[in-house]
Amino acid sequence: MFNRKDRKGRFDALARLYADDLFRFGVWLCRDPTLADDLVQETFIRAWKGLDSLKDPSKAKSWLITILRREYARTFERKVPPLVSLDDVIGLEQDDETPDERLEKARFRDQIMRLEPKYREPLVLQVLMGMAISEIAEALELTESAVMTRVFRARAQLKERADNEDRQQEMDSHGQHES
Amino acid sequence: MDSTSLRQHLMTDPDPENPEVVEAARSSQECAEVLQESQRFEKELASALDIPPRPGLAADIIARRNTMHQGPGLSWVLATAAAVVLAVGVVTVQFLPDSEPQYLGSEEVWRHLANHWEHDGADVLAASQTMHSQPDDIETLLIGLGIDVDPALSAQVTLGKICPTPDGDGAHLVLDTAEGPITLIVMPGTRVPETPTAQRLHDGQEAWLVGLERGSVAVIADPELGAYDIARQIRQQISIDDSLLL
Repeated sequence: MFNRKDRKGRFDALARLYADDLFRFGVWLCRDPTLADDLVQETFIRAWKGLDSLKDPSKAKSWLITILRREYARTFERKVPPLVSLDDVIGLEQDDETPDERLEKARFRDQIMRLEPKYREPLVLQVLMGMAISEIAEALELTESAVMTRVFRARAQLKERADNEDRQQEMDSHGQHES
Repeated sequence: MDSTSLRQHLMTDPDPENPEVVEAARSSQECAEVLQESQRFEKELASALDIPPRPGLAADIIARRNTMHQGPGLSWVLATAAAVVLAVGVVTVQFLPDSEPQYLGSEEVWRHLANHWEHDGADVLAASQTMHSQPDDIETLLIGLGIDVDPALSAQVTLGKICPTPDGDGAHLVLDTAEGPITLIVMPGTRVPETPTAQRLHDGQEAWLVGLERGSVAVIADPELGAYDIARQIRQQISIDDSLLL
């Protein structure tokens, strides 16, 4: 049994290790960094209360993701978050990026955001949070097979949309030449 | 692995250091190009997904934790119930050795419940007349066990503690009702037949055992209180939700 000091230590370590990742995931989940911030804070409040139920520290990330998603579901029931462009709210620009690179990134983000949540969420967990298929399955309460199918489809859709946009651009550029 | 299989594999698992992937890329130029293309795509994907964290978030979370009511460790009884334990000289012990959750026949579950009630049932009931658990502690206890309780029912709980069940920890709760106190033994991991069954316990208390969608609950009350009707109602107000359990 952990004494009070151990408990605080465990919790603080979890917060330092996972708060940022949870925030990133939260933004991709709800498209609102303010809401994501609230979600992460509520997640950790619940994690504090239920900390003793986390028997296996190696599963902490999946556990926290599960709590966050449930918090989001509760929030969504009360309030539908506004759908805004991710770049409008993040306003990210890296100094070393060219305008073309920024444009490409913005387009790619838009395509990711247009994925259905059931495809977007496992993809974010795999790529952004480096989670294994088994961990994602645990966090999303799916089978491993379902997770594999969904990340496959997410990538397939992104590639298809990117190809379609490239083809469209090519046609547009041909059209301009001819005129 | 040929290039088509490799392409399919990388769509699910893009790890370029996977030995099969490394071997495939070495084996043919086509596979090497498939891998390169995959890595280009994954790099763009990771870059697009990357979002700067909110500065100071972890520190804020830790600071907020400091202001929260200190939740008790769930492997120990609640602060108020700990006082109960000391006052009545009851120790939470394991009645049965740890075992994998299994479908027990009603007889075994009843045997466990009878032993449990004989051990501390009446004492905890008596203690509930003078000692009460804090609502936050009750909530913490229930969350930790994956027990979801209707707020109306939760508001009636005056005393709660962890108790052993045939399949791990459960909750021993005392409800304060207009008709008198009622005991609930919630067993998240113990499955019983759907049809409710009843027993009269050693001290004359009436007990009804009902299965939930997951887990089960025993309702124990004075025979005059109509534990069966209470059990029917409580069945709608309790569920086991172990998504927080690992």
